[in-house]
Amino acid sequence: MFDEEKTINDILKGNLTAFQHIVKQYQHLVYSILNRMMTNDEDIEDVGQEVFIKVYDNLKTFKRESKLSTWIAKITYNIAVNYIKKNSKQQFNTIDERSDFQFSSETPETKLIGKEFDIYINRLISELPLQYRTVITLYHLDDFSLQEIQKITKFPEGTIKGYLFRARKLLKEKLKKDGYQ
Amino acid sequence: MDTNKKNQTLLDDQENNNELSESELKTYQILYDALEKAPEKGFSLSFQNQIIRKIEAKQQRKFNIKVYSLFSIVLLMAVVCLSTFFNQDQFSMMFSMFLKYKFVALFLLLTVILIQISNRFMISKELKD
Repeated sequence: MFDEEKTINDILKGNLTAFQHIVKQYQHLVYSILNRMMTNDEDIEDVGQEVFIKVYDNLKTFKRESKLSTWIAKITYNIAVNYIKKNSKQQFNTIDERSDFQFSSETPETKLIGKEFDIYINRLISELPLQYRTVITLYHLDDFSLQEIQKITKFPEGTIKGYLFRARKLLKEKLKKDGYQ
Repeated sequence: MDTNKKNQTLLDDQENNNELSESELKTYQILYDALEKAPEKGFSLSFQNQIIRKIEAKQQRKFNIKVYSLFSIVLLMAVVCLSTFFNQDQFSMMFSMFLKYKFVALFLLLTVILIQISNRFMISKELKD
């Protein structure tokens, strides 16, 4: 079984093999966040490596005030935001609440089920504004609480609740329009 | 997501939407289930090894810098120490000796620099692959 405390202590003593356990344990979390924030597979791989190298370099500063998963998610989020700001044309800080958001994906001709439905819903999520899809991933997929998401993203709790509600409502309305009810 | 969190989420959505019909609740349920599904793809199989290799290379670089710094300090101290034993004539003799073999010295210096550069280039290429 994965003993987090012992693994951290082993890494701090210089044991690189122990760090492989951390990578193995948290690579799905890092991937799920990056996969929703970024689109290019190669960029996801590069940024993922950068995240774990930063985790290794800064592990001695981890104060155990939060869970290790929250700390790693925070590093992932910050690195991804910096990467997007540097390399992407999309604006990160602004969401125009008043403008009507429209999904560009058209309603499928037939009602999708199973894998095809999963692909479709993931495409819809990828069309949402960056902040929406980030908080919705952290909350629903990675199972973080609102307080933990606040620590990771530094958004106020009310803002997170608003993003979650609006993102779900947009997706629900699109699904309803597509006949999923 | 545990049941309590799921129920709370549904309550939040209900509260913010005023009244939700049964069909809308069903759509929300479909949505919650879909949102919980992990992506099928993941990092490449060599992901872990690449990270370890990069960390090892970084550690090696740090170690080399420490060794070079230490060597430079020792060398500097040795030069200062030696200079106290020589007078001006001996210095000019040493300088003329250096001038005589300047091409050999230059060749050796360039060889060392080239080896260092090619070594660094090969390591970075290996890490990229």
